[in-house]
Amino acid sequence: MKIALIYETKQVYHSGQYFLYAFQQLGHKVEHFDLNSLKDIPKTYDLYLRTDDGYYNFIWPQDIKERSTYWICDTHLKKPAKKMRKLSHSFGKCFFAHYTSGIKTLSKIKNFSEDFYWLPFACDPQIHASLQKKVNIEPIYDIAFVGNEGNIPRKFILHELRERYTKSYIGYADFRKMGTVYSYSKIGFNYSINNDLNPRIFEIMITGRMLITNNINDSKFLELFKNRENIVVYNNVEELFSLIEYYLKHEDEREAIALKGQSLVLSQHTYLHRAQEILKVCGLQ
Amino acid sequence: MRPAVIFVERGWGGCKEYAKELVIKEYSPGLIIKGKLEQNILALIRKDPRITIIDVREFLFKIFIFFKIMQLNCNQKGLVVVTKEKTAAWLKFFKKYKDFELQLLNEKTQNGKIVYQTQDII
Repeated sequence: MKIALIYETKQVYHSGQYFLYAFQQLGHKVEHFDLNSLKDIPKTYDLYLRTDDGYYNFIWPQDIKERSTYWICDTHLKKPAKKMRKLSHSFGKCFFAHYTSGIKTLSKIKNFSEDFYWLPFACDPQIHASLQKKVNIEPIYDIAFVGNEGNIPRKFILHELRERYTKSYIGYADFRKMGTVYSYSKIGFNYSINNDLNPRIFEIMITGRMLITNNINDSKFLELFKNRENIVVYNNVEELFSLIEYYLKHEDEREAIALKGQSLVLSQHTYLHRAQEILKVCGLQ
Repeated sequence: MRPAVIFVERGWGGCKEYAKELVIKEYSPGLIIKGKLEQNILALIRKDPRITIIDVREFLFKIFIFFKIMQLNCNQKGLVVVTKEKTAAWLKFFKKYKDFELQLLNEKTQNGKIVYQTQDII
């Protein structure tokens, strides 16, 4: 099958790339096109997948509408959500990553129940878990967080973690090194903004390190994961620090949660699974 | 002790570390944060009694800066630190009327650690 992937290459870290690898692994012929070459894309592809890269000023060719899909991610952010809702009319099928905000933003669209599907973020074992625990990596960091500081209150919590746990990695890292950072840590930290089920959750879990995250108010969150079984959830900062202290001291419990989390994402939440889901929904499998 | 006020619009770690550095240099620093914080977060960051931390609602932030600058004592040359170039450009105007040192603080993370640098605005 011939698949065209459309996303901006200006962004270093982008999930479109993961889909490219995933479709290739499934044996399909995949080609990537930049958003500014939209007019020149041949009309001969079986499937066109546009992934959310933060660029919304484009006109999608309507002669390929039926074979076009759009993976909508930033529905938890007001402005992008509004723009993507408008753009979604140009695609045959749409997928949305955040369940609650996706429903809120998109459910008023006429054909929502037929043509819109929930497709959460995932991880890529080749990229995010290149250093698996089987090579017996000794953690050198207590806590790891890869990403930007964010705004209130995330930046304050992150700096507090930095001050309390001096052996930590908190900050930016190239997406190819992200897995290595988490692999060398005891605990991977997540703070989700606006209740988004963000990619960091999956990226930490696949490295075989324990994920500690804030309680995400997305109805699918606790459907996908189980607190204290494959992830650890905190409800406030006081609880966060007491849980970190506890799990840093109780290695066996921490490892058990981490391993369960890793096997869960490997079996259900890789981009390979997501690519298969897209093909299934589009009737191409 | 010379007064120092850091207006935090961007980042946080670098500003906090710089405030600690200013304490050692015998300043009495105050951190003014743009945006309201929840009580538990304020309690978390207000641990050092030598550093005053105030959170100000976004729409009042500029007015707050203005009053803070007006409050600076003429006998003691104060230090004003900002994190945005736009704010620095705005405050440069006040330097004609008030004598204070103005600095722009830039912060980033490097290998998982906070690094920051300050630049004098003349």
